Amino acid sequence: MLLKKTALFVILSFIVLAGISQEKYTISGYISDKASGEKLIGANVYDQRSRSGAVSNVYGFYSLTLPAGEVDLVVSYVGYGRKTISFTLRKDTTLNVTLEQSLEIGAVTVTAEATRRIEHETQMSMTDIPVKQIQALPSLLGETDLLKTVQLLPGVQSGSEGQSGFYVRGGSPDQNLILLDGVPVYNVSHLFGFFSIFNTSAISDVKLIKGGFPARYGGRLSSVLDIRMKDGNLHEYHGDVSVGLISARATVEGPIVRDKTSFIVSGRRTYADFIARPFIRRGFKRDGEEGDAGYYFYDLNAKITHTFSQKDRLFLSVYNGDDRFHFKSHYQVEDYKEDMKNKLQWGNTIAAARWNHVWSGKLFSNTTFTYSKYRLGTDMAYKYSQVSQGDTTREDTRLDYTSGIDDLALNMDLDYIPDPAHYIRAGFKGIHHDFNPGVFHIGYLEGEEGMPVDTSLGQKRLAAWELALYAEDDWRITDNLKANIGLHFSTFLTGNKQYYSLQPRLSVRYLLPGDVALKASYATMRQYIQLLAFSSIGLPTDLWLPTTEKVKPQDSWQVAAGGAKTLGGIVEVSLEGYYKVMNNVISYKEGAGMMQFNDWQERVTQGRGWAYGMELFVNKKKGKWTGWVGYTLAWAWRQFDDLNFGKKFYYTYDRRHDISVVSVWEINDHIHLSGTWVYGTGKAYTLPNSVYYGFFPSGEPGGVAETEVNYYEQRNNYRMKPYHRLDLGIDFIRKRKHWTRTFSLGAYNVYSRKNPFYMNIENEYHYDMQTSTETMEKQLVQYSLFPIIPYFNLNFKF
Amino acid sequence: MNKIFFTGMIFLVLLSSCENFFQTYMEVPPPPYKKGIVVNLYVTDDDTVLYASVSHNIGSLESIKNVQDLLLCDATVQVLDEAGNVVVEMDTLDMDNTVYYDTIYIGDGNGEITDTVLYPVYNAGRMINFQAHLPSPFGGQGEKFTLQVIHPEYGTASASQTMPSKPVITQPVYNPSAGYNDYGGDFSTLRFDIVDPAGEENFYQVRAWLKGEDGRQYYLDLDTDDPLFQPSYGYYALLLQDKTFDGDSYTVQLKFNDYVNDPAENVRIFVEVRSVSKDYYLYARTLEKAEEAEDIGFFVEPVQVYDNIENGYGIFAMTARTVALASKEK
Repeated sequence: MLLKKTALFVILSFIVLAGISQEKYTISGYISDKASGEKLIGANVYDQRSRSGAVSNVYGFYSLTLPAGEVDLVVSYVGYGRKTISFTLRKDTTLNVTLEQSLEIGAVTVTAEATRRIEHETQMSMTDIPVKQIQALPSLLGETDLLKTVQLLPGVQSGSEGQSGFYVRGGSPDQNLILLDGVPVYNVSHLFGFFSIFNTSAISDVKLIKGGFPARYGGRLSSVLDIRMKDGNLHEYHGDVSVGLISARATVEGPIVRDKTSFIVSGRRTYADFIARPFIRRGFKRDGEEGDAGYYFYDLNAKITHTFSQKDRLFLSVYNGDDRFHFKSHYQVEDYKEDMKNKLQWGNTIAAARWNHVWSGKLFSNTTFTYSKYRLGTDMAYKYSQVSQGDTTREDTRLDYTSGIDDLALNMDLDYIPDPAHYIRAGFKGIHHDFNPGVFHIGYLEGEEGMPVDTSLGQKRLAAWELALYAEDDWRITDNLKANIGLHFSTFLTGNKQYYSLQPRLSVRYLLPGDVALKASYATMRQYIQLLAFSSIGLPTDLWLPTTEKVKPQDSWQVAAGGAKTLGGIVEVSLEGYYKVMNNVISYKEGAGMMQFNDWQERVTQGRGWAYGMELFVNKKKGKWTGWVGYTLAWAWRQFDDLNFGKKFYYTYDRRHDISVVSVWEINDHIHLSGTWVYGTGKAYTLPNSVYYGFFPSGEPGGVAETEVNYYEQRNNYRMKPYHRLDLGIDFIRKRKHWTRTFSLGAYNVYSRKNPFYMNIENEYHYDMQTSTETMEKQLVQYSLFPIIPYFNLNFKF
Repeated sequence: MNKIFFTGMIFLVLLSSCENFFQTYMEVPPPPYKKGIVVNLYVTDDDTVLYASVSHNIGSLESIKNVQDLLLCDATVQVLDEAGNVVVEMDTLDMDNTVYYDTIYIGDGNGEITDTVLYPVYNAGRMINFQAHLPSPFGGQGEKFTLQVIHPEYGTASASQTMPSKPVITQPVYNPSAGYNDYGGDFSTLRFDIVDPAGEENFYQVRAWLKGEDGRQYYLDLDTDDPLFQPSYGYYALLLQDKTFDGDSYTVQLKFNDYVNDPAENVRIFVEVRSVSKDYYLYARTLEKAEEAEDIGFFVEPVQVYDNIENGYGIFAMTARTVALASKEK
């Protein structure tokens, strides 16, 4: 009996002691910028006593569960002064922290543990790009371009000269999931790819993930570019106005209800059409016509954020942007009349309603309802009439073409942080896709009586459902060993066919002595929609199309391993190797192209792609002088049964060496210098090696036809010349009490390198006057787009 | 700072003064190529005369006034059997004074030859420079042959082919007024079965021609709704492979628009089915696609034309044909 009582006492004592020792409370809240109330993404919260920490999520929310007792919290964020908060933790506590921007970034030093460092994160193959840095870099025609900055990162390659599309680790541009406030964006470029649609004045955070994808992301094989819009200033009104060579932009933000509701509206429009209009009209008049022509693009971002309580926040955001080209002419001589009208327009509309709810200090949810639309429309009309001897001849032709994609989506994400060792995320996403793969509408009327033709040609609209579920845990197994383990399930319903996919994800980090992190990751991905694009240039006519019964979904797996360390607290160094395999990648068949009207599924073929390489990234994020050096050594291959006779060939964007050097030097408060230099191995291109002639049994019975064959040794058999370019910029800054003026000057392609854009075999004819003979000479001509392009930009911030 | 700014501007001005600084196009060297022999030789089982073209290739930027300048008439062109015996030695053709003929044997659809037609070869082309007259039809079904071309400057080029078996088809029938075409005229249909041998990959080429009472003759422009058929290079031929009907009898249904329904006219329609080697099939398909891409001209993926010549370019292909007279559907 005594023995039983003793045993019971011991057990109860253990339970009580264990209970006491496990008595933990949760500190949670938001971290925001003191001046604007803007939530800070990825800010670090670290308890110096327990050596435990947390990082704020994309909505600025953090949660840290600690044992009861004294805590010394250090809250820090790059570019902001740190804050230390000490108190006794006796209960679950809501602690909203505001940080102040540091005037002297270089002077700020914090302990290694209190700073969020690359070696502390489980995630590898990820880069945060400060928006300030994007804005500081020189750019083409002075148009600050987020995507062109992304192209400067290792593992990321640009496409053709000046294009905004990017290629990550041997993948194609459609394999990049580009999210604007969590909403997928389909066409991210203006002016045939030369500028991206993202207006950096309205953006707060940019993150690129190239591998080791956490389970919360899915739907694309190669990368995730997560772009977050600013919420708007909660305390006071601010704005900025910029005038550049080709566009002007303006942003206004401020409180609707102070500390509760904020708004931000930002717009950009090119104005070359206004300037050119009088000249164009005059040109028409000179030719005896009346007419007008022009091109412009615009972007409009708007967002309202409302805080209902400490627990509930609502965000409404919208983006609308278009490229518009128009042409019209009218010509009349006596009884002859001719009218011509052309319109080409493409753009995106994106809208999101988002609700953040804090269920408890440990549980946070985000529910989003989104709409994303990409549309392309052309409208061509031609009309003429002539009266001759009382008879009227007339012709009226009209051709419309429309294509696009509409998405409606609902997703819910839960963040559960039970203790500092675990950060669990789970959620679901449901998307309804509505594809319009291209429809022509032709109207035609001819003659006095007229035989009207009114017909539609092209592809049927396609609808599809995409659903995804995920769960992941960022798990600190020991002080040195961390892992992110996740599972992503997705399904796609198209026509009568349903596809399923279970995608395991794993990232591991082991911290060696000396704070050197070894990292490794494995991720499988699946992609159900793809861009049918002509291989050599990016056009708005490129079509987003779904997986069907005939066209299978794309799959990939990727392993990556490497090391990371922060040197001297300010220079991040990472070295990574990767191997990626992609199945069912899509390509046009040989001889197929965009100007064909047969079923698109008959024009494409699917095959295999694989890529491997190594990336070195040295990034100095703090100080007067910031910037990075990136080097990539890579190989990218493709293999299709229907292409290159089934043999493997280099992918168009196989680039053996890729170097980027990016630098911003804040000489003083008034002058900032910036520069970028890039080098890349030439693009692979298909050109005939030789020509030969022969015959083929053909024609009438017994006949033969002479043949001329362009012989290609293999697909992508030719290397364009290497690409390299230097851009330089200088900002003159003048600060006053209520406003700051920045005058930027610079040049794109400073030494006017003739970088290849397009190649063509051309015939040049020579006529000899003396012998009256003409000879023809063939030439391979390389066209470049941009020699040195200077720019200026004037910006006022108030 | 002004110093830095003005130094930069001077640097830019200096660069700008360089020749072609702002030029955005330039001539660049073409891809390298290997000079080699180009051979075209097509052998049909019932051929009694073989024609070949032997020439050399040129770089993609080289231009020539006359393609005949590329012909290699001093080459040795031989067809060898599996044992290495020369079965055909081709002679250089007298290109100015030669009339070429193609002998076609007409069968009744049951393997019996009922007629022989000698067609003159039109547009024989400037590229045929070798011929061989055979004492009897080439034959050789199921046997492997090697083409060998030896040239003192370009070395030796070769290719091997197996002569396919003659295709087995059922009696073709045609319906001269099966329906109306898009232009309001009659369209006719042609139907027959191909009996496909089992367990092997087979490729077929189908053509049909019409011979009128007055002697006029022309190939019919065949069309079909059957997705298994693919267009072939040249006119009026369709290609088919047996992937989906291996070892079975496959019914071929074709359409054509030509006028054959005049009761006063006694026309005859002949169907020609060839068993073609895989190399022939790939060459004809890719040549067709390359021509189509050339016609479209822009925004189209380049096409690689298949070839099977080792240490050279071009095609050595074998076909075996069956020709049958179609009967009018009752």
